[in-house]
Amino acid sequence: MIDIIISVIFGGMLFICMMNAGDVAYENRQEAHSTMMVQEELTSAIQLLEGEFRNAGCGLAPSKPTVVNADTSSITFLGDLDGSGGPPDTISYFVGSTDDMSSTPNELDRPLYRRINSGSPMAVGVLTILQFRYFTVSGEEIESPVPLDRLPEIKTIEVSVESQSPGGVQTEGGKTFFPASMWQQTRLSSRNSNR
Amino acid sequence: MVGKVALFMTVGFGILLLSLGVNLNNDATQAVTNMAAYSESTESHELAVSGANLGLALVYSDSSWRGPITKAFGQGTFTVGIVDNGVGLTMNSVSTYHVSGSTLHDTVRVGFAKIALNSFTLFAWMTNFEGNTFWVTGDTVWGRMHSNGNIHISGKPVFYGKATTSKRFDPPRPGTGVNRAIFKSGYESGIAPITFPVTIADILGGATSGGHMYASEIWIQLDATGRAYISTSSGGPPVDSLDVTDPSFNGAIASSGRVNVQGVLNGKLTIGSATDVRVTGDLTYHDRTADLLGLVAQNNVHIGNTADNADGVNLDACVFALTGSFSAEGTVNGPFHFFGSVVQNSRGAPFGTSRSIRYDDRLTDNNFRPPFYPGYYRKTFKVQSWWENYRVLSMN
Repeated sequence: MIDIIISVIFGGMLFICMMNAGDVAYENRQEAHSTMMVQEELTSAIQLLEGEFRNAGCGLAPSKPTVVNADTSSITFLGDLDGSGGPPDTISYFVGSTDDMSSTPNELDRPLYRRINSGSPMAVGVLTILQFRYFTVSGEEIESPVPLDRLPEIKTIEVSVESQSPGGVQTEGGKTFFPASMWQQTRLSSRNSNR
Repeated sequence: MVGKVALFMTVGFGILLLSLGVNLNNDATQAVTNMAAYSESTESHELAVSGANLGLALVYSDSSWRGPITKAFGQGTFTVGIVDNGVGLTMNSVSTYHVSGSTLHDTVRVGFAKIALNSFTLFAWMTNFEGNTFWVTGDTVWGRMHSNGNIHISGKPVFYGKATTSKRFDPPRPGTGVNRAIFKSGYESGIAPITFPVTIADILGGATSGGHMYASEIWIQLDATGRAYISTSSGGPPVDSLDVTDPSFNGAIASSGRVNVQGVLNGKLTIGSATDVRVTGDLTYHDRTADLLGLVAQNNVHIGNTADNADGVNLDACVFALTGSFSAEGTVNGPFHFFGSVVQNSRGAPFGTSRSIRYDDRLTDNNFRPPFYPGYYRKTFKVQSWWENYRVLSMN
């Protein structure tokens, strides 16, 4: 009889341990997976932004300003996207409202929109922070929004982007946290601005 | 009983850890795969950029080079060459990068302008030699600026257009020492010199055939109605007059002697002299959106020490002094307001009690220049556009 009682007690303890271990393992796995998904999402958005900004000013006369609108969380610039020698395209990047992502548990995420010429904005990523800072050739920061007469002075752009998991991870205490990734490019500059 | 429970527990933990291990292993594998894909695509891209840089170096050392050449580098190769597309030249650098199971290609396309005659009016300010004159705090150049010599700086002059020199800045590094210059559009040193023409034959030839050419010192009075009156003595009666706006007039007036000029221009005109051009009073445009004046001298363009200039000078013109300077005779006591472009062999002394020197922005168009105005050829191709492909990785 004592053997059975001891067995049940040890068995119960071990079972509880196993359940806890299962929960922790699941939580860790979910966190790792969410972090990776966030990083992948961020990388894709950044590759697009970085790739297109490298071609900013392509096909434009040197006397024409490349950036036509520059604000803290939006930018519009000109460039020949496909390098075909056609007229320059107008490319805009801006973030939408958190209401656009109201279906996700994360209250801070918002879509990153990209618009080409007068086309409809297309969501190309989900971010929580998109911040631009603008600098002259001598490294002086230009205040945002950049006044029209100072747009031609923009030579370097610093881009800071944060992305958080839309879904979040439940912790043991019942709280939800959102794995996040931060990316910052401090010297984003187009070769076409050096002509 | 205990043995059975222990067995169940062991098996349970085993299954749990196995599942966890498989999942973590999948994530780790995926992370490594992503990293490898990113690294490979970056290497392929940088390979194409390297090819473009090599191509640039080759074409700058020999402008007749067209390639193509192929170079192996690491796990890949790049092929770079130049094609003539009629209106310009295009250099293509294409990389080929072999990765497990596939091949990546990236492209960098660089567009060059063909070597063509550029107008000196593209510069707000240009000199062959700056002499020992310093750009100081308060000096401002609105537009592009170039010197084939050293540019001396002491203080915080402001250059709104790109400032270039074929030699160097003095002190060499802006932002250090007394060189606190503000370059709003950047600067570059050590670029290929821009060669001045040997003569001003174009304007003299234009004046001889289709324009008006004189064989002695002349005085020109421009009138807002579009007429130009030519005298052979100061204040003397006109010996000739012409309508600048007449379509049969090619826009060139010149003399083998000194040319004195003042008045209001209505139309497009270039005044040339085989010696000096002398501005004897205010010389302005009737309409700054339509009129255009070139003053081209074999030697100097002077602001005359005249009664009309005693209280200051207003000058709207593109000034070109081939072997001399743009300077003042004596002292101009009033303010000096200039609108146009200045190109001179050696930098002349500053004039006026205060100076406002503004670039005529219409001149940024190479085709908008005074008739027969001198031009130059670049020894190197000018990069007009730089395009790189990019890929957005589809990650698993």
